[in-house]
Amino acid sequence: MRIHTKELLVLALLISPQANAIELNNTTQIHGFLSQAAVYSPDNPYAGTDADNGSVKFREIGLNGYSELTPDFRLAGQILSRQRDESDDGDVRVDFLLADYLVWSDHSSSFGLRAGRVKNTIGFYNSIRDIPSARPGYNVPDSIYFDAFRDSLLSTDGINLYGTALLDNNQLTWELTAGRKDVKSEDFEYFAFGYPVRKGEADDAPIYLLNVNFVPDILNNDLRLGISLVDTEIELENTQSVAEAQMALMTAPPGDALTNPHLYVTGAKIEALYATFSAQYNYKNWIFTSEYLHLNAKFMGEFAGMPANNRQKSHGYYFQVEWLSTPNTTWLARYEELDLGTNGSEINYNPHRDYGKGWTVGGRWMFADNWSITGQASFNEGTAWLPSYRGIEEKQLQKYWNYYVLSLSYQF
Amino acid sequence: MSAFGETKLLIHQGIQTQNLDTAYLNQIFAMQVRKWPNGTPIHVFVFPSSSKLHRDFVVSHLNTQAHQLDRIWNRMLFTGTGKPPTVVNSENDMYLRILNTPGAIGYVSAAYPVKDVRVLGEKQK
Repeated sequence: MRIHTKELLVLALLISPQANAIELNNTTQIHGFLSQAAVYSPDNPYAGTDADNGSVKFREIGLNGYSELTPDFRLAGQILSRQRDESDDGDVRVDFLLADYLVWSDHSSSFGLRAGRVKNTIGFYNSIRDIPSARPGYNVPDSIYFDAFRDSLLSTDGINLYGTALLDNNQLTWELTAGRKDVKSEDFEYFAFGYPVRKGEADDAPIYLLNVNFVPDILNNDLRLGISLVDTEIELENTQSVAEAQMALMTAPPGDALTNPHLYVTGAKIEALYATFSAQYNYKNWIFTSEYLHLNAKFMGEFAGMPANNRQKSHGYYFQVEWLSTPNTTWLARYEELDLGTNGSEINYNPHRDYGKGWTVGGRWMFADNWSITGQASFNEGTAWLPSYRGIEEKQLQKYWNYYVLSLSYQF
Repeated sequence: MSAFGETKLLIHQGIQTQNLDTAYLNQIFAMQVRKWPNGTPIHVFVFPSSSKLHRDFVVSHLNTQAHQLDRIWNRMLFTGTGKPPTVVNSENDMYLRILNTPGAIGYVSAAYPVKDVRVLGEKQK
């Protein structure tokens, strides 16, 4: 059975007659959120063409429950529906579903494990990128959390070990995750080739993740430092055979293998190592955040049986300032850059996909308990983080592009 | 009388810990520490984040800002990694919860009369 956004919306409204969480008993609670956005993207198609003239096909709904069976053992789960014009259809999916066992805990340290589908803690924002109330602005920084690998890196089906330690009042937290994740093949194909391939689907990807956060005692616990390392490997399966690709080449115009290599893909694999370094400093009502991403990707492709390998190094960073001017109002400014390091991979419809640079400004007003309205404007050069969708190749993309968002969110 | 928010920390009488410095309290309210040294599970009670009492308590006793705790709790809840504290809406309710829940910790305004719970001063530093 496929549940769609509307059913989930009705369900969420039905079970949230009051503003607070629903406490079924002492140990079980249900929470949720709804977010409806209007997006206007006059220069480039944003996750589809609907936003060209302003679109409300941007909606997120989540329902979340947890149950504490004993003080050491919890179950937690969340389902999510995310509609983003053409790039996400609003189908309900399991965001996480896990059992959490606290193995050991004393006054200064703890250690536990989770099993099931667990969210991946990469940088400060990967695990909450779909949670409207937890994001700075309408979206997380594009330079680090761009869409190409979003689904693959969102969560892992596997095991997660975690711990905390208080060392002379310095706070250390860590997580270690290992497992597999199904990959949204289309995102991978657009990232690797700029187009969907003729035949083939990305296989489940193995994921290994280490995340460490440190809050030093100096500076009044106002500084938080983090590092995340992710090792993964994405491979296309069931591609066309070499014979099929060679046959296609024979009937194609001369030089087509160079201009349209995606039509002749007979194999592709990316081994990727992500390293994210994060820092956040709170000063009174100001929050300064910066992150840096280094992505080392080894690409092993095969076109009509001919191997073509390369190594790609991508770098991204942002600086972000948030000002909490009143308890109910926040303001945001962010500058970011992403260099995918794909020099020379010219694509007709998208000649500026190698890089992105952009400013984002925004504000949020929590106008009532559990309700907020967020406005944001983003001014970009280069299309490295422009979200792709099937059909984007039929557009001619602009080098300079802006988009504007107004969103209304409710959380209980 | 504290020059900061006039709040006092309350703990269930069964908890005998002496050593509640700011970093430890901060970890408790960030839900990072889940048990008292004697093994009793910690139950954290707070007022709504928008209330002045909560904001005063967070600044004076935890040396942080209410929005930082909100973000930590939101993150835990919506990533399945933890449980946010229980929100109560009146000082009477807060006091009764601390009185009746083993392992409970919370706060009320300094002037609010309480008995049979442990009171840890106007301000820990």
